[in-house]
Parts: sequence; C-alpha cells; structure tokens
Amino acid sequence: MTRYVMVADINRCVGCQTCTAACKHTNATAPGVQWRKVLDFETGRFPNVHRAFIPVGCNHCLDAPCADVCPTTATQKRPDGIVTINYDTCIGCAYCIEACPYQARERVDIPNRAYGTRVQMKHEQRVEHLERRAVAQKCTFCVDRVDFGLANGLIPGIDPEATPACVNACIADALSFGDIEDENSNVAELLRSHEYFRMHEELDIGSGFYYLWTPRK
Amino acid sequence: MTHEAHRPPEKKKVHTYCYQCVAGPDLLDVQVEDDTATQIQPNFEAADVSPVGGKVCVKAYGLIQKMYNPHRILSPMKRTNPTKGRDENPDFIPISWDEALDTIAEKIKEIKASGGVDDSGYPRIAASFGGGGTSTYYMGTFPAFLKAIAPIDFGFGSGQGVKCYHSEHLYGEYWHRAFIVAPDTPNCDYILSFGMNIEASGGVCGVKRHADARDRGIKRVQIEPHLSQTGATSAEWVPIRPKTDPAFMFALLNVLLHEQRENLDLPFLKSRTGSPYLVAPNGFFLRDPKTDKPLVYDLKTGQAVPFDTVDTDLALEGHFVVSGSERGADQDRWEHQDIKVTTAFEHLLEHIKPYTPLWASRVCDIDNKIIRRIALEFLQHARIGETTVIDGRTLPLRPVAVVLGKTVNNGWGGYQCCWARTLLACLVGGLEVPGGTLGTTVRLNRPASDRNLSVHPSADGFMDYPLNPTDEEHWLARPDVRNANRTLVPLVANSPWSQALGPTHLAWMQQVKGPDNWPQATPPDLWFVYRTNPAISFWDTNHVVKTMATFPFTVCFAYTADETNHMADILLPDCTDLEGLQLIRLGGTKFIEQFWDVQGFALRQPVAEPQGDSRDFTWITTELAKRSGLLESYNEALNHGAVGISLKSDIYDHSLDITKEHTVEAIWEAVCQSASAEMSAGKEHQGLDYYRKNGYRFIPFERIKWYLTPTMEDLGLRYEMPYQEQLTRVGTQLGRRLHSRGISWWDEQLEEYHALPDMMDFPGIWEQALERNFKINIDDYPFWLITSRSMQYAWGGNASIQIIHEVSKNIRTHGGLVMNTDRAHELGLEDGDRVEIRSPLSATRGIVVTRQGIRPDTVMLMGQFDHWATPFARDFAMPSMNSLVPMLLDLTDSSGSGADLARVSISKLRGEA
Amino acid sequence: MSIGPKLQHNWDWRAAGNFIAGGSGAGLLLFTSIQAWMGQDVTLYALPASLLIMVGLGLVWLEIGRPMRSLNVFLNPRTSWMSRESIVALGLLPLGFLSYFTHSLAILAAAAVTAMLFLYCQASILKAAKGIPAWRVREIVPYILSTGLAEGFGLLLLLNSALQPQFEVTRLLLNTALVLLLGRMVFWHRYWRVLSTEAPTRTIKVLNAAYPVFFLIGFLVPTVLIISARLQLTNPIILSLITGFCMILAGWMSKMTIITRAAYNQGYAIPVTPSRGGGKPGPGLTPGWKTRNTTQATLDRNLSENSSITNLPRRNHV
Repeated sequence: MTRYVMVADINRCVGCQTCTAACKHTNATAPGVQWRKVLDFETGRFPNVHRAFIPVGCNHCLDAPCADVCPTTATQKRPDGIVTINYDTCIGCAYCIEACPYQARERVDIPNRAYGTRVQMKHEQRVEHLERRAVAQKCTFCVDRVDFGLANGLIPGIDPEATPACVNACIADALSFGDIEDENSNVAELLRSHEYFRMHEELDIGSGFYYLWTPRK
Repeated sequence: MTHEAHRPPEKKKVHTYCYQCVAGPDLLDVQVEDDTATQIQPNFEAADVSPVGGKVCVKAYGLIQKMYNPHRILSPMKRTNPTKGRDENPDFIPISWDEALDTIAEKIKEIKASGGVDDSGYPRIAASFGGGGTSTYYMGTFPAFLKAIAPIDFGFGSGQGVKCYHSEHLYGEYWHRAFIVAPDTPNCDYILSFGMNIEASGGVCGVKRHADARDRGIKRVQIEPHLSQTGATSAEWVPIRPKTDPAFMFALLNVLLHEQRENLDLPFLKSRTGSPYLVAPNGFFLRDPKTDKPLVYDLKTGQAVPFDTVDTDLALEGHFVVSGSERGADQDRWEHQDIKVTTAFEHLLEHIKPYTPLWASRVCDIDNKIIRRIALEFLQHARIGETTVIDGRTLPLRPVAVVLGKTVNNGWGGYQCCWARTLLACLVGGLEVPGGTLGTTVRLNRPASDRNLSVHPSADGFMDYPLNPTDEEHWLARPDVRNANRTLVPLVANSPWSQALGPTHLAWMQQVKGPDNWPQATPPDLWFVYRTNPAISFWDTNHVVKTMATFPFTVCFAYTADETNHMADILLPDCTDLEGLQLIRLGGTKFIEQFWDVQGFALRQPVAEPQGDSRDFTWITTELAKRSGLLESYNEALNHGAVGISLKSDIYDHSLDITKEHTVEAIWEAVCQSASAEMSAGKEHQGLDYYRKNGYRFIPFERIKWYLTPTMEDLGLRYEMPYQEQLTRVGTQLGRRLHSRGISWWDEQLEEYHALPDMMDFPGIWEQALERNFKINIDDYPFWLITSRSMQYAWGGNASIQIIHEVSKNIRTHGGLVMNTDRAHELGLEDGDRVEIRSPLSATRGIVVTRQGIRPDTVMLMGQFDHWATPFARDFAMPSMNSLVPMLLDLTDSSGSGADLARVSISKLRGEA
Repeated sequence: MSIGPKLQHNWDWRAAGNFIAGGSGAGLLLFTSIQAWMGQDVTLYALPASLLIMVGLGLVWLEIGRPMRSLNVFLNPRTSWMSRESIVALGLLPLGFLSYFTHSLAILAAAAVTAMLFLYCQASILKAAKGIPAWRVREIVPYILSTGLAEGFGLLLLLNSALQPQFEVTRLLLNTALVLLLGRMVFWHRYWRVLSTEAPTRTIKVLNAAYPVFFLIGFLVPTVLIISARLQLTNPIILSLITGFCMILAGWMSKMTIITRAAYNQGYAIPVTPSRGGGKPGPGLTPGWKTRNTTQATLDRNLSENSSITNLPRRNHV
C-alpha cells in the first residue's frame, strides 16, 4: 500500500511563508485563501519565551471527518491517502468545513483577482478557477503534480515535478513529502530519526501531517 | 488546473535570478504560458551548483504580481503641477519616450557644459539607489552612463550609512576584509548573535545553512531585546537592554582575558595579531629608529626587535626597558631611550579590567551568571588547538563565531562592538578560519570577486587599507560630495561604494541648515532615483519629504507611484525584474551568507512581453547617452567594465565600437562573451543564446578562499588587533585638519579614534541627545523603539505587492506595535488597541500587538511603512519608526553612521475605529 | 493571523434557522400526532409543522454555495448525516402535508415517526462536525432532541390556545410540559458542563452567558407558571401562551447561540516547541482553550488569544 504524508520539521522552519506563497502560485488561490500557511506560535512568559513556526494545511486524515460528513461524495479519500474534492459535485454546504478540526478548508466566492474584483492581471486571466467559487477548497497535496509524476515514472517527494509546490519551495528544507508505507522512503527515514507529533492527536482521526521537533539522540 | 478549450498552452521555463535584497542573488525559473508569466519555481537544474538547491525565498514569489501589477506606471510621465509637496498632486501626464529622454538629455548637456559642479563644489547631478547595491543588478548599463556624466553625488541616502551595517562595513573591511561578517555556518558549533536576524535577513542561503546547523546541534545564542525569527530559532534568547551590547561583549572579553588567559589561542595572538607590538608613551607603537618598523620583545634574545624578525619567541605580556622611536600624527616624532614599555596585549588587559560580568549585568539588565557562562561556552566550543584540512591544507578549526546585527553594528557603540567581536574571534584563534568568524566580501577594497586578492602588506605588518588621506597636503578639505564622506571618514576609502558609506543623513540635514564653516548646502540640479524611497525609508521622513520638494529636477525610474516620485518631474518606467536583460556576477563569497563553491555569471532575461511602454534599462541608458552627446564615453565605460566585466582584456576582445549606438542585445552579447572568455581563460566565448538557454555559467571557487587566514599566513601578515595605532594617528590628524578650519562639530566623533575603544553609556547618549535637542525630559518617553527585518517585504518595492502583504500577515509581529503583554496590560492596553506612538520629534499611530517575547521597556515596529502615496501600501495603516527618528549629528559616530533607535511614549487613541 | 479558535462563519442564521425551524416543526408534528390520536382535531397543525420544516430546509438552500446542484445532497447516505437528513425529509414533507390535507391519523403517525428520525439526523449532523468543539460532544444529541420536543410542545400550546375555542389545559398537558422542561434543562446542563471543563474559552464564555437566560426563560418562568397553574393561581390560557412562548424562545435562542455564537473551531495547538539545535525543547501551547488542567485564572487570561500558558502538561504524541 501507499500512503502519502507531509512531514514538517519545526526545528528547521523559520516562518518565512515561502511555502505559503508558492502554494498560492501553483494553485492560483484567491486573495486571502491559503491552502498552506505557516503559523506563528509563542509560548511561555517573558523572559522564558519560545517561538515556533508551524506549517499547517489539510492533514489528509485516514479517518477524514470531512469525507464522512460530505453529503455529495465530492470529498473522497483516495487509496493513497490523498483527500480530494470534486469541485463540480460539491454544493458548497460547508459541512466539511465544520467537520475539519484543522481549519483546512474554505468556501469563498470571490474572483481570483489580487487587486480587487474590477482589476484582472494578465496571469490571472488564465486561472480564474470558476469551478472553485462557492464550493469547498483545500490543500490537495498538489495531487495533479503527484499524478503527473506517477504517470511518468517519477517519485513524489523526490522528483520536483511530482512533488507538492510547498515542499519544492521550502528554503529551510523543512517540508518533506512521501510514502510513509515505504520503509525506505524519505519520510519514513525522517520519522525514524526524529521525535515527532501530530496536531490534535487526541481527536484520533489519523492525521497524515507529521511534525518533527528534534533529531533523536 | 486550467482547461484550455482549444489547444494546450505553449509552456516554457525561463531561467533568471532574483537579487531583490542583499542576501541574494539566487537562481529561479519562471514558468511562462502563451507569453504570460504564470509561476515562479526553484531552478532545480541548478541544484548542484547553487548552495541552496536552486531555491528562492518568498519575495521572489511576488515577481509575477510585480510584473502585472495594475498600479504600475507604464509610460513616461511628466509633472504638470510645478508645486511640489506631500499635499500637492503632481498631475502627471503621459508623454512620449522621445520627449522624456530629450528633456533629461538637455539638462545633462547643460550641466556638463557648466563643468558639472556648482558654486559650493558639489556635483550638480545626484543619484540615489537603494537596496544595498542590489539596484545595480537591475539597472542594466546605467553605471556606464553614470561614469560618463560624472561627477555625481550618490550621498542623498535612503538609509545607507545609517541604517545599514555601517560600522561593520568599514571596520570589517579594515580588519579582515569583511564588508559583512558571517559565521562559517556549515562548520560552526556555537554562535553568539547580537541582534543579527539571519532568519529574516539572510535569504535562502542564510536560512538553509542555519537550518542544517540546527540539525547538527549547533547552539546559537541570540542576544536581542525582542524575540525575532532568529531568536525563535536559536537555542537561547538573552533579552538584552537596547544598545548595551558593547558592555556585554566587553564583559565576555574580561572573562576570557582575566579568567581564562592561559586557555586562549596564544600562538594565534602572538603570530597573527598585533598583540605583541610594544606601545610607546604617547600611545603609538615603539619603532625601530632605522627601519621604522614596530618593535616586539623577543624572550629568546631578551631584546626588542622589529616585528618581522624570524625565529623569535614573542612576549605577549610583561614590561620591558627598551629604546626606540615613536611616530605620532603628522610630523610628531619622539625618540625614547631606555623607557619602560609594555605590549599592546598588556594595554588591552588593563583596558578591559573594569568591565566585569557583574558590571555588565547592571548595564545590560542580564544576569552576570549568564554572561560568564556564555563566555566560557564560547571558549569551550572553540576547540583551540584542533585542525582540519581544506583543499589539502591544514588549517585551524575553531567552530565558534560572533555576528552582529543592525542597531548593534552601527551608530554609537558600533565601533566598540565590531572591535570586541573581532577581538573575541582573535582570542580563540577563530578569525577567518574554518568554523569561525569570516568576512564575506569587499566593497571598499578590490577586487570584489575574491577578497583574498585584496590583501596587500602594510609597512607595519598588517593589511594595507586605502584610507582617505588626513595629512595636510592630501586631505580633502573641501568636501566633493554633500555627505563629505572622504573628508570626514577616512575609513570609507574611495571606491564606487564609498559615498554610500558616508554620513548620508548629512546630505539631507544640511539642506535645511549646514554645519559651521562648511560649503553652502545646495540641492542637486538633477536627481536620479531608482529602486529607493527615501521618503519612507530614511529618518525624519517628514523632513526628507519637504527637502525633496525643493529639488528642482528629479527623474525617477518608477515602478508605481510612491512617496519619493511624488516629487519627481519625470517618471521613466523601466522593465522590471522579469522583463529586463542583464548578466551579473554571482557565486564565490558574498554578503550575507552567500558562500558558494562555484563562481560565475547568471542572466536575467525577459520572460514575456514587457508590460505597457516600459523599456529595458539598457535601452533607456543608451538613448540617454546618445541624446546627451556622451555615446563615446558611455561605450568606453562599458568596454572598461562598468557593468561588472571588462569587454577587453589580454585574452579576449569583445569591446564595442565606441562611435556606434548598440542595441540592448548587442551590448549584453558582448558582456556574455567576455564573461565566458574570462571563465575559460579565453578559450570559449558563449553569448546570449547560451546564457538564455542555460541561465548561468560557473567555474569552481576553491573552498579555501572562504577563509582569509591562509592568505595572511602566506604573506606573513597580522590582523590589526587589538591596538588601533593607525586609527589613532588618523583621528588625530583629522582632528587637526578640522580644527584648523574652525570646525568643532565633529569633535565628539573624533573622540572615537582611540587605540582601544572606550566604553560609554550608549543608551545615555541617546537619552541626552534627545533631551538636549528637543528640550524634553526623557522619562516622558519611557520606551525604546526598535525595528526588525521583514523577509517578505525588504526590499524590491514589494510594498504594493498583494501576495506579499497577504502572506506576511501570518507573522504575528508584522501586525503593528509589538509590546510586552504584561507591560501593555499595566498601561490598560489590549492586543488590537489603537495607540499613538510619540517621539520627541513626531508621532505616528498603530495597533498594539502584545507578545511575551519582548522586553517590557522596549517596543518594536517591523519593516518600514507609513506609506501615503504608494498604491495598496498606503491603505495598510502600518506605522514605521522612520518619521520618529531625528537626524542628529549627536547621534552620528565617527564612521558617519547612526542606528535605528528611538524613545517613545505610547498612549491609547480613544474614540477611534 | 491568530492561532486560537475562531468563530465559524459559514453556517450563519440560515443554518441555525434549519435547526430551529426543523427541530420545532418535527416536535410539533410528534405532539400533533399524539394529540390527534388522543381524539383532538388537530391534524391541521401538520401544516405549520411541515411549513416550518420546509422553511428550515429552504434557509439551508439559500445558504449553500451552489444551490442549483442541491440535488447532490442525497448522494452520500452511507456516511453523511446531512444526506440522511435530506432523504428523510424527502419522506417527511410529503407525509406532513398529506396528513394536513387528508386528516389521516395513520399518515400523521407516519409523519411523526419520520419527524423523529429527522430530528435525530439534525442532532447527529452537529455531533459529526468534528471541527467545532461545541457541536461534536455526545451531549448535544439529547439536548437537540429534547429541545426539539420542548419547542414542538410549546408550539402545540400556542396553537391550541389560539385555535382551539374549547382548549382545556389539562393536568396531562401541564405534566408533560414539566417533564419536557425538566428534561431539556437536565440535558442542557449536561451539555454545558462537559464543555465547561474542556472547550475553547470563548465558547465557554458564550455558554456561561447564555445559561442564566436559558434557565430563566427555558425553565424557571414556565415551571413557575405551570406550578401556579396547577395550584390554580393563573389563567390557564395566559399560562399556556406564555409557557408555550418560553419553551419555543429558549430553544430557538439556544440553537442560535450554539450554531452562530458558541461555535468556535478547534484552533491550532502544539505539544512542544523545538530545541533549536543545542537548546532545550520548550512547552507547547493550546491557545484559546480551557482544558482539564487550567485554572480559572488562566482561563480568564486565556480569553486573549495571545496569552501563553506555561502550566499546560506537555502532550507527547509519538
């Protein structure tokens, strides 16, 4: 079996938002919509303060509550773990948004126009994505890139053309993507060699997003 | 996914570079579909030559929007409202390129005919460029034109000299060819970082190197008043009181020198520094009367001998009775017979003695245990005595480094910090060796491509340095540019960068009121502005705006409307980043942490049809040169290497016919061919086609060139540490020159020219300067206001890029005035409250962002905003400290720099939305 | 952007309207059927009941992003409670309207049973919404069921008072009302209590503020009125009207609160901050949350999303 997961090393991440911007580029999301973003956490009390940068997005959960609640089957879980949305089937009921504890989904009805609805830049003309208006949207693990890669003998997470844009772009090499079921994969090795956690582990929905926080001694 | 109905889009990938900030340049690809730029991507093909796998940072992802930004100025414009001011609408109207260029050319011709210099002796033409020199890599052949229309005053700064690493630039190059200093991160285990915000300002190279280092277990201690991105990613945060870093560092020196002396790298001190040099009674070196060489004491023979005597065992400490001569300033000379002298090192010990960790703890508001622990950790991690092999040569391995950030390495205290940092490195033998504290490049010495080649011996056994003369005969008594850099600051040398390193605020200040006994201040008759916005990015921005409005003729190469080109007479739209053609050098070692194993050239090329009627900068320049009647001198400057490489040398000749007007392609074809020829020792001459297709060409850059100490060893030279004898002499001479002309207003600055830097109450300097100049009580302004770098915005004119604004909001400290949570609550302030931020000079407004990661006595405003003309940015309502900071000579150090520091009061705005 | 729980904004008053109208309508249908089977001529109440359910669903239709595709809502009964609710509604509405037109007690009974299924689906819709702590607790199901019943009964009282000339406020009616009121109060309290120990602090704040209002309108006032009626101290019609009104209002307010004001999402949390090379790891943070280990003092502080908590236990999830 294959299961694609995302691994974020928060010991490396510097919160630069390069992944945020790269995702917006590649997926041409509307202003304000960020399928991938990096949060700025601060803990402790002066002067004992820690600050961490946490990349977030869809966790492509094993027991995805969004897929369960979706009334139209627009949200589907693929065998390889990627949770997809069929924009043409979705009715935009936003139930999946309420079901997601990672705040990964959005429903917006604004044009892909960065400078306001009346101005369309040349590159925006090509990516209107009308199919996404008023329906659910979220990180897709760049499933188009993954599928392109698989169809052409490339390895998702290793070959850039088969890898999510955020992983490609990360300048700290903090993001990794790969098949957790393959014990020789990059992600499997990272999980062996680092301490890690998954967010909201207590909700027990099988998140596919792992956070490394220190190399194992 | 787009669904093209008729045919698949014609897709291609175009190679280019990003050099929007000094942390670059970095390579990238632009995906283009049907002549539309659609995506920025890393250039993965370059992964094996680029130290960062061909990646670019977040800023580069704004380049598509930058190209298609609807607010771009896309045709030349001319001002029709003759009155200039913030509240005056310029009423720009579009004009043809012919009209624009001819208007400018007429002006240039008239200025050239008059000699180019006004009655005060200042150049009639001024030019301001921003981005720490990065604008050079976007302005095509304009540098060649600037040579043709020289003289030019480059000193109307937009932050150069006062907001940059100023003191580090000058002292760094002086002491170890380090225009900017970096750790040898890949080999380092322990870094002391005084406010250096590498995770925000270090670009791709900085971020990746330090992320890798974290995986290796590096310990970095971030010493800084607030918890920046770098503090966040450091092993320890030490929240130091602002501007007290000199005290901290002197205390570290104290521990090492007075508690750990026997554990220091004594061989390095003896053979690679001026520590053993004997100091004569008047403070200058004791010299051999015959050869004038500084003397050292040889314990083997029990005699004072010239420093370069071989086979000696030099004393670092001790008092000796010797004879010799002493050469002071100007003609001062003393002959000494049997006097008791000691070494520079002993003087250092004495000098540092009072500055204990306990003393520093009170100044810095940091527990003295922490200070001492850090000193010991630094020493322990230095692994003195260990070696490594680089390119077949055995070198010391000293995996510890000290880096400084802005507001630490500039302004008062900058000298102290740079000196202390360099000395810390010397004490453990970690200067310019693997793992240690390294310089990155040179800009005042030459060549920039390899700083090792800039090392030449001085008579005293140190590195020679092109100090501006201060002797009576050669001192530039009458300043030739408005910031008087070579007159006032001997250390700025005389390279194309020197003007930007003078006190650039002087150029602005004296427009209102010049200092005594000084040439009458004059505005420039023609002012070129490109990639810079002094109306936002300098100090006392209200004053800068008013001053700009008095300039009679301003030509701005304009991207969008902004606060500076609001005062322009002509706007010229150049092809922006993804539209122009230019070949540049990259690789080798360069600021900030650009350490490559290759060196070469990369091309920036039009990825798609340029927007509107914007034109390539090279085309604009050639047109200007032609219309100004300067085509020949322009072409000559090109041939002589004005764009970074000579078009003719011993091994190749791609020089241009100076009598002809050459197209953009023809010029860059010649540059490309010259570049290839240089790299292949004349064997290959690939032109534009090659670079368009491949993006770059590199040759190896030996790893050993990262380090200067091998060169110093080969030449038998020493680092001029700790004792600044030459600077003492130079300072004394400068003082005499200034005083002889009745100039007393540089006296405070002259005080800095001491052989061993004095400790001062640096925060007190700010407090007293503000009280004195504004007749206020400093207690009414209880907060220190500092600023911090935004990776997303700085630089590149990104303020109007929507995607940049959107993603930057994820960073909490980008929101407004960052204030300590508990302190805010004490004042009755909550997160999100609107407040007035008032300094003795002016006031601005912002929103409170409460954080734990900042000292209670400090507040922080990130980046530089307060826009009022730039589209999109003017709606941010994000404040900046720049309008709050006065331009004061009192707050200028001897190197001509200041620091971004203010004192403010915060009060809640009532009844405001 | 803030990292603590944020109020969800996708399901607004229109979505709340579905739960309000649908719940009340379903409850009304049940008690209409019971009362009809007990011999009263009240099948006409099936009309307002069905209309209410229809209006509720119509409000949802107004709220979804692609109303023209709304028929897709039926496609996932295998796992989706919303699909199930829609399919049940497909049967419920015809049965409801039919029972009005036909006056058939059998059809009315079928409608009532279907209405209970419908009500259960609505409660389950909320419980399955794993992203909203105020919805996903088990205790929401009995609460939604009990308030649907209470509101339905309240509507019955109102309709009876208004439309039945010989309306007699029987002891059975009063006792039923008391049981429904008490039952709902108990389920509300259980719902509130489970969230008061572990939920976003803003959710707790909203529910804390709602509690006394709910207690007053949804329990105390009607209970006192009912008791006074039992003691024959009150005009029964007035009692019926006010009690009915209170039973409805409290339920509607509570559902509006739960859907639109208490519905803060999960937010983000980390169990640890990284060691950053040679440093030590630091505490984690669950911003904007009260969990079992925080005190009231930190709860108050926690209302500011920027506050940080040092005494949360480290949650290791390896």
